Amino acid sequence: MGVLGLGRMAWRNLWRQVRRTLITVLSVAFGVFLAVLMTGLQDRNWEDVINTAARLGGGHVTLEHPDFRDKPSLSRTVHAPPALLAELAQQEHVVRVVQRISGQVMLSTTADSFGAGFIAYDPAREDESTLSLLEAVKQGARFATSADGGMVLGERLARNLGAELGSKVVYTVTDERGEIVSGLARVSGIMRTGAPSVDLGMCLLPLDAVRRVLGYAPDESTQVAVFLDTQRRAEDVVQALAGLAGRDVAVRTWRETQPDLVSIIKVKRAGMLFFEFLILVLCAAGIFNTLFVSVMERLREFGILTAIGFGPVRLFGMVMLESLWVGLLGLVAALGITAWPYHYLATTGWDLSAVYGTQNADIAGVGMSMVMHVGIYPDHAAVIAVSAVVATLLAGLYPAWRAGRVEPVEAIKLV
Amino acid sequence: MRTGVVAVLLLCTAGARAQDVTVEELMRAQDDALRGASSTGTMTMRVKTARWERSLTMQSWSEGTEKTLVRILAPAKEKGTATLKVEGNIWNYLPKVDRTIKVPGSMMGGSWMGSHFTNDDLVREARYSEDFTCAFVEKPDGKTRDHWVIDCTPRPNAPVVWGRVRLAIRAVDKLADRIDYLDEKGARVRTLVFSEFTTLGGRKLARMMRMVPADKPDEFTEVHQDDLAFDVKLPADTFTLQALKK
Repeated sequence: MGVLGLGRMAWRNLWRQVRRTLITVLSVAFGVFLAVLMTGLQDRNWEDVINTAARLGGGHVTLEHPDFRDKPSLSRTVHAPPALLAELAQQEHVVRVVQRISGQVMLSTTADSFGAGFIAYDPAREDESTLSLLEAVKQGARFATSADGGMVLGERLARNLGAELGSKVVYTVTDERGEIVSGLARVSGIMRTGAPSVDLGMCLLPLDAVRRVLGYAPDESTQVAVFLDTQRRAEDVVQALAGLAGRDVAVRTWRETQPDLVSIIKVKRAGMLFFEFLILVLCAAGIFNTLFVSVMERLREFGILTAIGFGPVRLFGMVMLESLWVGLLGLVAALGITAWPYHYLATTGWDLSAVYGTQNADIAGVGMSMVMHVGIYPDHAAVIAVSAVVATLLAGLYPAWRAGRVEPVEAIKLV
Repeated sequence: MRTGVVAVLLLCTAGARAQDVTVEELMRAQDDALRGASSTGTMTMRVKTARWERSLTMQSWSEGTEKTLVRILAPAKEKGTATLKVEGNIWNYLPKVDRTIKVPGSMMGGSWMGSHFTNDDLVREARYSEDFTCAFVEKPDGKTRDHWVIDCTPRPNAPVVWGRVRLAIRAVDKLADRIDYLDEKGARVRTLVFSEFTTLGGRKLARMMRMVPADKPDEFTEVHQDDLAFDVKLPADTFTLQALKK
C-alpha cells in the first residue's frame, strides 16, 4: 500500500467519527476565518493609511533634494522639466506625477499672524486622488488655476486669523537666498479634516503663484510626488526612477519620507502577528486534543495493524495524513465561511463611526475614514493557509509518533 | 494768545498752498523726512499691555530707510540686545547667549521686543509708494480743516493685510500726525499717533509716536525720540553682523 492507499485509509478513518472530524475541521476553519479577516482589515487599513499619507505627504515615491529630508528648506529644490515628468509618468506602476512646494509659511491678517505648513500644488494636475486635503474643503472651493491668487485654509487656522471666504491673507516665506518675501492670497476655500494638525496648521496655495513669490524657475519645486497603483511596488519604482532623475536628486519611497508611519505600522503589525500566533496556538491545541484522543481510542486497532505487518513508519504516516486531511478540509470549510463576510467587508465595509462617535480619526497626522474595509494581500492569505496546514500537521506529530510506537502485544490486550 | 495767532497765520499760509499740492508730493514728504539721511539718536520705548508695562532706552543708527541698527542701553538686564535691519531682513543679537538670529519669514509677524510693532512693521514701512495707491479724502480749507486726509489702498496683488490705510497730514508742516490701519470691512485695527512736533537735529519731526491696537484701547507702545542728529558720519561697517555684536 503506497501513500495514496494510506491517504485513502486516513480519509476513511476520519469519517468513522463524523461529528468529531467536523468539529476539528470547523475549528481550523474558524481560526483561518479569524486570521484572514483580521489580517485583511489590517492590510486594507494600512494600505489606506499609506495611500492617504501619500496623498497628503508627497506620493508613494518622492523625488527631492538629497538634503531636503534632514533639513527641509525652500532653498533645497529639484528641477523637473516637462520631458522628465513625462518620462517618469510612463514608468510601470506609475499612475501620476505632480510637482509641489511644501514648507513653512507665516500667515498674516489684520487680526493676527500664525505660522503654518503649506503645500503649493497645481490644480490642473492634481485632484482628490493625489491630494487628500482637497476632500476636506467644506466651504468655498479650491482655487481654479495655478497662478490664481486663492488659498485654502484649515478651519481653525482661518478662525484664529479672523479670516473668512474672500479675506486677504499675506503669506511670508524665506526664499532661496534667505530673503523674506511675501505674497497675497484671498481665502477661496476652508478645509476641515478633524485632524488638528491640518485644521490648525495647514494651508494650500497655488503652485505658480508661490513659484513667482519665491523666484523659482517654472520647472522648480521642492518635491516631485509620484503616485503608484500599489504602494507595495515602491521599491521597484525607485530603482527604475533613480536612473532617470539624475545624480543630485534623491528618489525615496514613502517608507523613507514617512518614518513615523513606518514605525507605527511596524509596532501594530508586530502586535497583530502575536495575536495571530495566539489564534494559531489555540486552534492547534484543539486539533491536538481531538487527534490525540482519536489515536488513544484506536491503540488496540493499531496494535492489530502492527501485528499483521503495518510498520511504525506507516502508522505514523497514516495519522499524519489524517492531520493533513483535517487541515485541507479546514481550509475548504474556511473558504466557505469566510467568503460572504469577506465580500461584505470588502465592498460595503463596517461603519465604526457609531461606535467611536466621530467621523474621522487621526493616525500620525493622517486623517482616516471610520468605515473599516478588508483587503488582504494575496501573499498574506497564502501564508495564513500554509500556516494553518502546518499547524495542523505539527499538532498531529505527537499523536502520530504515539501511534507508531504501539506495542502489538500490549495494545491487543487493551479493551 | 500770541501763539494762537501765529498758529492761525501758519495754518492760513499752509492752507493757501495746500490747494495745489499733490498726493505724491505729500507722500514723498513723509518718506523724505528720513530718507537719504544718515542719523543717530537715542529713544525711549514704553510698552504697556494688560499685564505688564516696561520701558527700554535704545540707541539707533540709520541710513535712509533701508538700514537701521538699534541697540538697547537700559535696563541693564537687556543691555546689548540689538536689532539690525538691512533692506527686507532682520537679525537679532542676544548678548546673553552671544547669538545672532536671523528672523525667519515665519517669525516676521511676531512682536518686536515685546512691543505692539511686529518685525514686519520695521521692514514693511518703507514701501508705501510701491504697494499702495493714495488719494485725497479731505484737503485743508484754511478754515476748519487743517489736515490733508489721504486714503492709501493696497494695489490688488500687493502683499499687504490692510484694507486701507488712512493718513492725516498736518497742513502746517506736511507731517503726518495720525495713521489709521483699517481692515477690508473698514473697521479700524490699530492707530499710530504722532505728537510733540519739534525741531530735532535740524529737522522738523514728531518726537513721540504711539501705537494703539483698536481691540485693546488700554494698551499701547510709545516711542519717544530723546535726541537725534542727522547727516552724521557713520563707519562703513555700521550695518554689518559684526557691528551688531559689538
